[in-house]
Amino acid sequence: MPNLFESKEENYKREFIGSLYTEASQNTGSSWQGQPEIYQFIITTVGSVVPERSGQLKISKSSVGRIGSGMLTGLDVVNSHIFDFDYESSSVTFYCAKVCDRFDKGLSEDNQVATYVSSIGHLILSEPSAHVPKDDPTESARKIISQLSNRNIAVEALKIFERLQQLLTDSHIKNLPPIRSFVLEDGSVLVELISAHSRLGFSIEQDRHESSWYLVTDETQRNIRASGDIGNDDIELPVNWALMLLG
Amino acid sequence: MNQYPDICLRGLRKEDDVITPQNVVNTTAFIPDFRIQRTDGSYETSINWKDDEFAISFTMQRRNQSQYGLAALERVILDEERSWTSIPKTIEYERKPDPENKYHGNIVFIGNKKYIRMIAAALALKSKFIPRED
Repeated sequence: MPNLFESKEENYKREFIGSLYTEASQNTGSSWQGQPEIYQFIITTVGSVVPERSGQLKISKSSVGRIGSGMLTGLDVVNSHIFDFDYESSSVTFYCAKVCDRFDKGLSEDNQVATYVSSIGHLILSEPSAHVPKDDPTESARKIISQLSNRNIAVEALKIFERLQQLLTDSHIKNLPPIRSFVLEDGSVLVELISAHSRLGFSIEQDRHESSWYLVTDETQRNIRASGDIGNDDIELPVNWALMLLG
Repeated sequence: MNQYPDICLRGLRKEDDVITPQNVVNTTAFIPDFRIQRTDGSYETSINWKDDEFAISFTMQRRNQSQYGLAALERVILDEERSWTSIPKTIEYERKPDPENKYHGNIVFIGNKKYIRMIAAALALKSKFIPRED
């Protein structure tokens, strides 16, 4: 089995960093600089309330957590991935990045995180590729996505990556072709798994109901033409289909 | 003589249009610009028909259209993609010369973008990359 990712947690962490970048670049237009400083906290979730922290920050229920006695953090602002956690359970692991220019060493950990969230529009974050394993087939594609200014498309693309990673990691195919992403003239994003005889593509549109997948092959692989919607459907079918052809 | 030659040429204008280091044509080369819709609602991807031996050098000379080389596509492949009965009709092709380019034509994409992207991917998969020599 290919060792595509160091661990599931590493995967989550990179997902989060990529989302941070998207949010920061959308708000500030800034580029990433310096080295990343990533913190990992075990957070006790609060549950289904919708609190507001000290008048600073509105936090939706799915993203509310707790460090020690402190409340934290609107991760769903930047990380749709959080919905994959069972946030009703007693604890989850969140990741957060140190706020380079706002960091106050006098603050407690939870306040550091809250400061980070409230100042995300002013963040200068570091290059996410530093965390990407060398054999990661999504590396170059992720860089493209991380530079998108359209947050909706970036979030949808990250969801596709996440699911792709999951499916590819579970596969037994050696020498998977790299996954590539491209930004088209109309602002949509094309994510493709390109091999010599087939192409599996995911097109992520501003209107998610227009997002779609396709699988095309040449005569050596039965000249397949297939496509479908991905707005509400899982991509497992086309991915497994493509993996079967690659195998 | 058939109105159309056996080969059409698509200029590769963007770096993304070629997958390196494999040197294969990317789907982006054939996906039309969806921002620009024709009056009948269709979309187009510009090509040059290889009417003669000069068509390739002519297209290469227009560097703004072929900075990263050319994709050569057999017309039978266009016909094949036109002939699918299991999906709605998605492509046509046309000759549309202009005063500065007698070879000019278009692949015309019709209908649902989902099928358009799929067919564009098939065209890219089956096209051959012609690199620049300069």
